[in-house]
Amino acid sequence: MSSKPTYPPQLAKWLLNQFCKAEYTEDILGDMEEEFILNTNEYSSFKAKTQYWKDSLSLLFSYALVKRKKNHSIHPFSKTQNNIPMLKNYFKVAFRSLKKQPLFTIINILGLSAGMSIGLLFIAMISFINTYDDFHENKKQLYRVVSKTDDKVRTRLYASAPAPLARILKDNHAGFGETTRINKSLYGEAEFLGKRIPLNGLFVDDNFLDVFTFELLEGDKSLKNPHGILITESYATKLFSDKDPIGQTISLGNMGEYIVNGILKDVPNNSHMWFEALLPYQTLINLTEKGKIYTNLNDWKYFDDNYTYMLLPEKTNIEALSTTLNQIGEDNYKRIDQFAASFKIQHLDEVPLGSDTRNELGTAWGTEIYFISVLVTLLILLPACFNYANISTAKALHRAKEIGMRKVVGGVKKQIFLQFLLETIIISLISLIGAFFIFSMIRYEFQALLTYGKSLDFQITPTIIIYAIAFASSTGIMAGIFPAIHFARIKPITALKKTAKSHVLGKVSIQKTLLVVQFALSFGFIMGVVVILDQYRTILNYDLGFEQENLLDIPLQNADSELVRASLDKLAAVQQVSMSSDILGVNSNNRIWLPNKEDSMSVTQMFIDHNYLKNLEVDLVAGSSFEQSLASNEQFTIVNEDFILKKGFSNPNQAIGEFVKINDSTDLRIIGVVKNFHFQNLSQKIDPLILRNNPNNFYYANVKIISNDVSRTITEIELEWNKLSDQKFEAQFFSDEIDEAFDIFSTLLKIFGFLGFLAITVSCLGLLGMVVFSTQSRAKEVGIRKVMGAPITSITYLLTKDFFKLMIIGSLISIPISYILYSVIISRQNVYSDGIGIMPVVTSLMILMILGLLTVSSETWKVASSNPTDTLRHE
Amino acid sequence: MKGFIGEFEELVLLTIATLGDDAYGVSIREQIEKRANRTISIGALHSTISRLEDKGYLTSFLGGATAERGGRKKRYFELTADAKSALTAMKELRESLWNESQVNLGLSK
Repeated sequence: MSSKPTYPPQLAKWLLNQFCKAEYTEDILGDMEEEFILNTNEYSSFKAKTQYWKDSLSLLFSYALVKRKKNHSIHPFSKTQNNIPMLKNYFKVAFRSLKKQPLFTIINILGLSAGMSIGLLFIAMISFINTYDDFHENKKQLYRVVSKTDDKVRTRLYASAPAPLARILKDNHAGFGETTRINKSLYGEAEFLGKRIPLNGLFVDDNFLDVFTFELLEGDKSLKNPHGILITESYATKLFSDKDPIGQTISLGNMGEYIVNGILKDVPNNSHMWFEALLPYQTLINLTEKGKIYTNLNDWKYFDDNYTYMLLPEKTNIEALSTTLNQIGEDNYKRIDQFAASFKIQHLDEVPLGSDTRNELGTAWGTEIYFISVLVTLLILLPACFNYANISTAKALHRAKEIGMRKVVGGVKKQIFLQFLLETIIISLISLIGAFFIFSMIRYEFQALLTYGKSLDFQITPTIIIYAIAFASSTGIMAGIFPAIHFARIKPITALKKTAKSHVLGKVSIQKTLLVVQFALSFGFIMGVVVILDQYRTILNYDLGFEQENLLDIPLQNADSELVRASLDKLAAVQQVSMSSDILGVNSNNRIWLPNKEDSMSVTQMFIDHNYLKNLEVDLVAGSSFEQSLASNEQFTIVNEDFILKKGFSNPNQAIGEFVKINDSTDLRIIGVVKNFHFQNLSQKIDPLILRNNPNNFYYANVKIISNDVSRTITEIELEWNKLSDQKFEAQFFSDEIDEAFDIFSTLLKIFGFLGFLAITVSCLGLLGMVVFSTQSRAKEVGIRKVMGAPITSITYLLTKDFFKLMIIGSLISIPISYILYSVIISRQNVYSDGIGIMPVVTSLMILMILGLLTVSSETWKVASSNPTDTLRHE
Repeated sequence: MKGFIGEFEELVLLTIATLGDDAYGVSIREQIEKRANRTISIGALHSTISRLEDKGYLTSFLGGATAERGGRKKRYFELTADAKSALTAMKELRESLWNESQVNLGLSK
């Protein structure tokens, strides 16, 4: 028996300590140790140690330990803990500390509100999109047929399917429920007693209203009568005002006359298809046979306009249907050379989001909406979370005593962690109110920016509120997790001794990193706005190659072009009148394929008269323009330089007199070549253009006016117009139309401007918070420096320079990334851009520096000029 | 009744009763070892004690710091009123069974 003192085996003791870390197993550990001492006195030290090992191993898995651990762990439903008063206390302390630091609270709430408002927009949007088509009673069983085509060059996914498919499904493959065909080529003007209103509708099979749930308000909903039309309520009000529409006859131009058979309730916003009128499919068949409508109901290669929807019975064998569809596809495309297509059914749920198909029947958002919304939300929300994390870890000193006390009286890490997380969630829930406020201010603006904005509804519904609360809570967790970990780690002794550091801009801290990221983001947004403004200005001043001033465009609306010209020419203020088929740059995108033996070519075609080129001051480089009222004009064409180039002529003069084959029956002789000009907006390169002359295709009169009193001139023109036509006079200045059509950056500018404003505000708020805190905690140092004779400027410099450094680092990181990103965006929007250049970078850098330095020095200057006696007397 | 008392649990309860003010882990284990000649580990003992606490037969309090055993506190155990009545009931049951036993259970003689 050895007489020297022995100790329990270290490893076993360590193991036990790991398992029974907290103080609540103190007595058991004491028992173990006492046991061991007794054993060493009685037996050999080896035996005592072995016993200790045995005991500790059996203890590890004993009920005693499990039980005690369970009692002491903190979990929400723990019965042994009295949680309610603790939670109450957390709330109380949270509100007190928010009240105690009003500046920081306001900064945090403003930042989080701004960040979350963007998130709310997307929540509202996506949750509305998710209600799409919910009003259909049969929604669960509704499918549409989508097609995938492969023409050996590329594959395409269409939301539509060729018209013959539905017939085959119906006739040869019964048992798959109802099939309904839809064709969307019903558009034009409806006329009733001289009133004309544009109409958009669908041709549908007579089971359409049984398959889909569109409510009939009055009348007859059977779509059997080929001369009966169903219109929506609001369209009826527009066309008939107060009259009873049922039984009235409306005229649809060359589509004929129809009797209103019924009134449908307006198509809800959350319908993926939209129409103002329904006509029976039989009518479409009749009209196409007579050639009154151009669409194709027989061609398997024609994917436009035609849609096939299916109402499948419950328990349909989807696989059998797929096989059938595949079979139909194979049977019908094997006859067609170089082309194949396959069909698939798609549930109505998948239509509005995530299908990414072409030729949609209505609104479709595509999958990228998720990606974009998450990205944009994070870009604004993250800086706001960073602010919170930065400010609250910097504030640690204020809370250190409290945390120390909590720990001393028995609070464990987990409790402190939960307390601070809860505090952040409270802040984010308060911010949610602010976010809703901002949301309600910006939602309509946002809606207007979106292409399909009109089909959205940004009402606040209970669903949105639930999502928003969940969103706010997760924001709270995101913002609060770092500070909570930081606080939970504080050691009670250092906290109580007041030596807990507040960590403001330590060496390489998380705070510094977060600030740098914020500056980088802000720089990116500032640069976005600057670059887009710069490009916008360039585009407005860009020489498009033609004159746009003092030209008034008047839609002819069936008035005779020569009569209009003759009557307008009489007016003194009118210098010259020309005619055209389109408005240059606005809707001049009538593309045709020129057949050729080797290479077909896509060209833009436009019809103009002899005055047009003179009016727009476009110069001819060779040949001549059209002669006035010459019947043979129809056989001539004027082309642009690009056309000559693509056709392989070495100089314009060579091309004069050559023929251009338009189609099998038409060859046009080139009589002139014009200089290249931008007949499309700048996102398109200048393409081949052919200008033809044919009065039947004139839809606009372009009137050059020289007048000091423009409004009087327009009134005179209108008077002349009223003599010629019973249509309403419409006119717009060409330069305005051009500005609108070439205005490709204004949406971008609005988006970047708004997001940039939010991001910069959030970052500046955060910066302000950090500066206020760091200068406050250095107040004493500043006091001493002043007593020792340091001037205000050098103290301001001292307090500012750290932040300045971070701004520089942030910008340096951001410059290359932003530069590349915006270069890509710019080159997509404007193929004639010279690139970004150095100026926008310098300008954005200046803006960021000025904003940052103003924010920082506003506070540092105040502290630097404070009276040292005030700060030094503090203790 | 707050649950069934097992044989070993009864032993632990009675041992705690005999120990009076000095009933803590090590002393209980030693007593049981000495009197009943049963070796048990500290872990097993504490598990039983925890179960008895769950059933409401035991309460405990921490004593002051001690010089031996690394300065760690001892946890002392006490019987509750429930435990006392349960033990009494058990004893009465046994006594009546002994008394009414038709077989001579005495080993002496």
